[in-house]
Amino acid sequence: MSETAAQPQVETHTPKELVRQPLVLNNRPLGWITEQVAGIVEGRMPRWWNVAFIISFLVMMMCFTYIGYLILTGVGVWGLNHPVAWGWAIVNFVFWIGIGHAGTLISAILFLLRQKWRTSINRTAEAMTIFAVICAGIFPGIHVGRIWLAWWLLPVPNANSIWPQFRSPLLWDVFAVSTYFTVSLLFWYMGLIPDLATIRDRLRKNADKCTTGCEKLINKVKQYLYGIFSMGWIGSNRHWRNYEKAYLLLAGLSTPLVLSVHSIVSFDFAISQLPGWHTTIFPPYFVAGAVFSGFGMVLTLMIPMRALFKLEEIITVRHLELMCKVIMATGTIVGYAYGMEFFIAWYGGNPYELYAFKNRAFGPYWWAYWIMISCNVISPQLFWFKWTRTTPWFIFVVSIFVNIGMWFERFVIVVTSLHRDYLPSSWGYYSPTQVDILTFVGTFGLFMTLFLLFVRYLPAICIFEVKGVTPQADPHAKEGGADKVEGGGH
Amino acid sequence: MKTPSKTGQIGNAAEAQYWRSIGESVGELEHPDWSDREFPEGATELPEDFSRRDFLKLMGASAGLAGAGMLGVGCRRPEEHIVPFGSEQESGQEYVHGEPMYFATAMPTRMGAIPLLAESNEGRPTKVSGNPDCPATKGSTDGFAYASVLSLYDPDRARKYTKNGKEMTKSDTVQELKTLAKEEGRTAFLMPSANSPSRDRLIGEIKKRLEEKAAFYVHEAIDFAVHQRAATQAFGQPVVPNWKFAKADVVLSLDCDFLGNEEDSGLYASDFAKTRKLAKATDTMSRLYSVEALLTQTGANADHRLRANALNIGAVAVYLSAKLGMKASAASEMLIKGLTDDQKQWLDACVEDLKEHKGKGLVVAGYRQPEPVHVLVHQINAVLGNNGKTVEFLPASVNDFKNLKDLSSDLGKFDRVVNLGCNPVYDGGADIDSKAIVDKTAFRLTNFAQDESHSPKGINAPLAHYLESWGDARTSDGTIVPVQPLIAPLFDAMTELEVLAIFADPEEPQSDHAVVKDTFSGDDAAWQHYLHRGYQEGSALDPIPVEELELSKGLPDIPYRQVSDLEVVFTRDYSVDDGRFANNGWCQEVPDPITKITWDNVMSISRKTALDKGLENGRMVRLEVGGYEVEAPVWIQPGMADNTVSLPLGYGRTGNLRIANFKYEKRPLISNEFFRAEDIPVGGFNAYKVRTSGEPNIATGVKLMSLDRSYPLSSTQEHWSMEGRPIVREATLNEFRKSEGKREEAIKKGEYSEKEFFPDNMGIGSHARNEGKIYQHPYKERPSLKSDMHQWGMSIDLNTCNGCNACVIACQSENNIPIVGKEQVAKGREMHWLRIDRYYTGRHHDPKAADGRIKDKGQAGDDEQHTEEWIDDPQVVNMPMSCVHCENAPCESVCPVNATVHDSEGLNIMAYNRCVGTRYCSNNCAWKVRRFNYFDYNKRPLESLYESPLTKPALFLDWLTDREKPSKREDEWDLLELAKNPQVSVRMRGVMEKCDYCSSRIQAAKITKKVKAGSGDDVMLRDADLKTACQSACSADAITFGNLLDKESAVVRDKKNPRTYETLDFLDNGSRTTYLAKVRNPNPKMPDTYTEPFSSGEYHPQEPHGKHGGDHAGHGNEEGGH
Repeated sequence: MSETAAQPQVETHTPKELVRQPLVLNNRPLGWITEQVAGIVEGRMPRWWNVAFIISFLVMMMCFTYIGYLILTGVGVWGLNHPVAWGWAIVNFVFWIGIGHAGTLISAILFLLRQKWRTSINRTAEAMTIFAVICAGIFPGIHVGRIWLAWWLLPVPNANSIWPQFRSPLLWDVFAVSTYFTVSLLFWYMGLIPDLATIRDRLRKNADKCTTGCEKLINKVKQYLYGIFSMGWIGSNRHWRNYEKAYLLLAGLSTPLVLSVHSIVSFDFAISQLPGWHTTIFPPYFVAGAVFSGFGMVLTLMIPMRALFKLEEIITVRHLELMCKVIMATGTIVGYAYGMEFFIAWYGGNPYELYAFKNRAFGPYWWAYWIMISCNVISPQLFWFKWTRTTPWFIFVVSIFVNIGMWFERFVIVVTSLHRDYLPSSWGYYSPTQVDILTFVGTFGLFMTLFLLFVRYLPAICIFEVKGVTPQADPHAKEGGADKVEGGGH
Repeated sequence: MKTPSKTGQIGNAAEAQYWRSIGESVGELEHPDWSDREFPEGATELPEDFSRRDFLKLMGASAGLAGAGMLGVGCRRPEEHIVPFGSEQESGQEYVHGEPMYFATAMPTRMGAIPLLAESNEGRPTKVSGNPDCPATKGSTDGFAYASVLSLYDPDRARKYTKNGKEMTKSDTVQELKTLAKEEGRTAFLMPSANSPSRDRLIGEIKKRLEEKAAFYVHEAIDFAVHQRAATQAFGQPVVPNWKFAKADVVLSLDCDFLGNEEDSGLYASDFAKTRKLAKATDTMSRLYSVEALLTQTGANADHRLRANALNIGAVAVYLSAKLGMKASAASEMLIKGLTDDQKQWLDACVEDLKEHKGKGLVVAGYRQPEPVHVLVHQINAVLGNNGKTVEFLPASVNDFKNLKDLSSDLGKFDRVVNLGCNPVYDGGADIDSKAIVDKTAFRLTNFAQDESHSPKGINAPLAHYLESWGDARTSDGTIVPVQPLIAPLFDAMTELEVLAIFADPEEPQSDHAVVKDTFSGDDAAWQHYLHRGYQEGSALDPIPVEELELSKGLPDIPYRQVSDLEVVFTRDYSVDDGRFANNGWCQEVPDPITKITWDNVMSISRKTALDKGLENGRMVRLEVGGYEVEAPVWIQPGMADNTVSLPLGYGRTGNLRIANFKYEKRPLISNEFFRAEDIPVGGFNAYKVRTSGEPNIATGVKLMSLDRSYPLSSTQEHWSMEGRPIVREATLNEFRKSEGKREEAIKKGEYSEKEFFPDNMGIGSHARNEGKIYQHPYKERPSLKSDMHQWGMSIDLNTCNGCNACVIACQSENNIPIVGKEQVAKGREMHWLRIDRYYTGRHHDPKAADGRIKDKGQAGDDEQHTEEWIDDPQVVNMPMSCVHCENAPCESVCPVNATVHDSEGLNIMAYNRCVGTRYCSNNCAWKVRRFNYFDYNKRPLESLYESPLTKPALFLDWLTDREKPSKREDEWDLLELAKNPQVSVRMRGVMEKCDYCSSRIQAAKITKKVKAGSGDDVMLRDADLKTACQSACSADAITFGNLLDKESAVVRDKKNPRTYETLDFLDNGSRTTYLAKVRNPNPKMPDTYTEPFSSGEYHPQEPHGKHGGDHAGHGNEEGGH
């Protein structure tokens, strides 16, 4: 990637060669970027934030209330039964875990692939990953019958010498998800350190502007906290050297995790002998689906955020367009997987398998299947057209469809396979209850609460990395290109 | 100090409400004097220099004594000695705490009794099973017997003696009764039917004492006495028929549900099963024809089944008799015209078969048919030479009791009624003024405190359960069996015999024990022996030689009844009988063997009738018969005769019956527009409302009016078809023999390949089976894991299983399986470890042909199957299904906490304590036999499963005060606790559970065997040492279980049977439970004959069965081909 935005009037200039769009529009100075991003953290929150936070918080509390009700009463408050012993809880778990895939993919894989456009979205995407994994992590914890004993899934040495069963994919899940969460959190936090130091420094500078004692106190506390979490970062050369190395290492470490987590989650199904679950296509298909849904959610969050915080010049339409391309690619992979599942069901000659797939499409849950197909296979194909990829409101709508479709994909896999398996005598039907539905809705409250707190207190865009990709950041390039320099500094 | 009272009971009733034991009566346990002291010796006299060591010794001793004291002080025991079951040498069997004891007793039925062995744990009966030694029944039972244990602990049982609403003691009541017995005036006794020598003797004594002043009326809603009345009428002397199905090669049932609804169905099932066992090509098998209106269990097991209206059964009998050369009256000739040509053709061929099997055939008529039909059947059997061979006639006691209708009309002649346990307001019939009888009732023995016939007027006394009473009965072959109590009456209840004894001799009434002992002729040793064995040897009645039986001349007149548009058939319910088991949770929750509906009865109609009347499943209908009406939900039942409506009795109860008369509220946490609280109606409808004494079984003149609402039904199996899957494998006898012949040849030639022969050549099983080496068997990897003493296995014979549910209830009783209620069943959360899958197959029914797609879109269930034509004349298959104990168990490898594991003896076991409830095991189980405790079903009341401290803070306070406190009502909990089997743990919520082959029984048997072996090495368990609960419950002997390493065991023998197959064997899970394929025995001359069972047509819809050989042998799916 090369930047040729040397001329101040790049828009009016008629290029002889195809000019890449700049990653920060309007040739903004470096200070402007800091001001724009850190300003969100330092200033007062707009009214919409307060309203959104209160709503999210209440929805989150509803989630916790329903979880309390569940724990006090029994898993029966959900719509589960025999044969459908896994319902919305597992669907939601896989859904949220899938969403959690975009962040690390953007920050790690795109970092390794030197995709510079990642810089303005990676922080938010990573935060989203962590919050999504938190939401996901709730469900395996609460879906078990005796929640107070869920810690038995952990390999805790005990007097009875009973270990978890290492053959069980649920145990692999425990390791995969917790590892993923830990590494993602570290990765995210490490990337935050230079920016936290920036805010710390700016707070110190702004201390004089505080008029009332209260403001002064708040400023002091903030300085203290940001100071602690920036771990004494002063931006020295040595700091930067260590930082860059560590970041590269963590990116390398995270990359296989992006692929492994959802592969392992897919083993929950693929390892079993249930028609509709027992397929080898699951790991790649799940990973593609996860990236698909993750980018869907990033767009769902990013499009309103860039508008509300006036970040259109940092998160540009080009960013959106690139993400749309990823969605289109992964959506196509997912569509291929759907088709391949059917083909194998027929080609494999196993009548139980074939029935399971016919039943998906034409059985009692046909509606879920066709929602899934239309959202996941048809809607991303709209991105073949340039207009669709560059129109934020349209992308937003499609991203919502992607989210819905991917939730239904998990629903289709979990429920339609279970509800009619081998013995027709045991066939049943599953419908969710109030508790199922509102607990899931409640996790959006948790997610949004965390996300709103994130944009309120942490720099939502990686200030120093965005600066690094601006032309101004490149002291060597004659035309001020930024392609030779990693991480600019300020 | 308390002294033993006159009755031998120590302590007072209020103090020890429930804890009652057989205590000293079984052993020679002394009543030590320390048990009367408040503190054990030494406790009040602590010496000055009391050391820590002394203190510990004392505490240890106190704890021990407190345990023993429970036996001495806290309990109440019957004074009379009861005698444990076992061999004569062991009769001194001592009570060992924690070990169950067994007593022979019997459950009285309407016309006889079911001899039982009752298991007593810590002095309370927890489980019964058939008495295998009794020659009358040889251990056969029915589901009701197993469920009766729970009725003993029914919390709604009457607990108090009252007079005009005021409470009194039992001794006061006895005094009152004595006065009543001496009072002037005429007394009518209203009694349920029974066949008890002691009762007959007391009635005789009362008659002698009171002469004209006493009259006896017997009331039963279901009248099985018709068999005796008809035989008596036919032969002109008091006889009762005794069917010998074991000797019959051809059986024709005319509306006779001898495998289900008739009394002694367990015995008949056992006898019938003996004729259906097949192992070799040369084995023979009986053939069963059934002509019936409702789809009954007998019809479901028939080789040929003819649908005919219940009113036309008489015509069928007349037609048969005409075919046999008997001359029918002109009126009867009219009847024959009611038969269609198809029906006549069917009967022609059937009668030929009967003629070919003279003396080896049997025609039976069911209790619902009127007496003349029965008489005609006796005559038909006489012509066929069956009398004396397949049906014997035993001398019957002359029964001159009148019935409820007579009492109603005679009521004016009496000054008072003594009701010994009838509930006429509920089941008396719509046309009888039962209220008037109740008003005149001076004394009533009642099972429930508040039932339909309850009136505060007069004396109400609690009726003792048979497990707390002395009594006796005659079984169907005349053998006299004792009814001995296992426990002193829980609520100090009274038996019928006690009351009758007071009337027989008010001055010095005998106790029920004395009555029974007096009736028994024999010395003390013989009495001991009688109680000990559970029957009186040699008391069976000798059948009257057929030469001495003279048939009445002339054919009976079958009344010609106008067959109008619709007929209704009132039927004994498979689950709750006539309503006597309606308050029994096990009975309510056991699925009806035909409809698979729980907690409700339904008005079954045929598909065509539903179409004609514009009805659909679950639609409420107002049914009007003879001016009476009832509202009931419709159920479209395959195999029903058109224009017949079945009304099962026993539901729709009112009064204070918490199980029968349930009120659920489906309450979400928040109720609003979207989530509405709704009441779920439960308990069915009361068919007695439209039943009259004139037409108690079949009525005509029916009007149906569809109402604009539906009724939720909870069915445990919503899908009927096997979908062309080889789950239940079937063949005809011919196919089986051919296949066997070929197999033998192939073995001789050395070209034997399993998959070419029945039953392996059916379905896709053949593909994987022989190459089944994908997964190594865990034992092969590590042989050290395997026990070389015991390897358990089970074999279930689908040919003899008739789907009667006895095993289901026995399993529930043995394993403390909770009931979950109608709403939970509707959700699919029933807990039965053992269920009976029932599939229908139709002639030319190709489930895949239905437009090539899955049609049904019903929310719960498959609505469209109710309208499909193939269900009109289906074949039915039953399949008991519980955990099959896979060798490579799919559940085990997915459990993250090792809660379900394999043991060294091949059991797939659950460590309940380790289970955290991920339910992954259930998802991965192909048989879906695992059951999850979605709620605390054991402790929570069914009506408030969804309550929690969040919705009801009082529960939180309860939890704070006592963590173990159940939220079930206290009176209920106290009793239900007693019904639990202490040998099996009770599971809490959030835990997965399933069949473990009764592993508690296995462990107990091992210990017993080891103790018996002493230093010897005979410790391997053999068939005689152990039976699972389901196995011992199976009258048809369809379930064999045992040690696969014991080469003489029945299970090894059965697994060698060529019919053996594994369900879903292609999964290579290696199930330890295998099935013996079903074989049908069609008559090739019948118009509805078939060369292969209907299910084969589903496997191979394109080509006839048997030509589908080669590589694709039984691939089972044309779309699935390569």
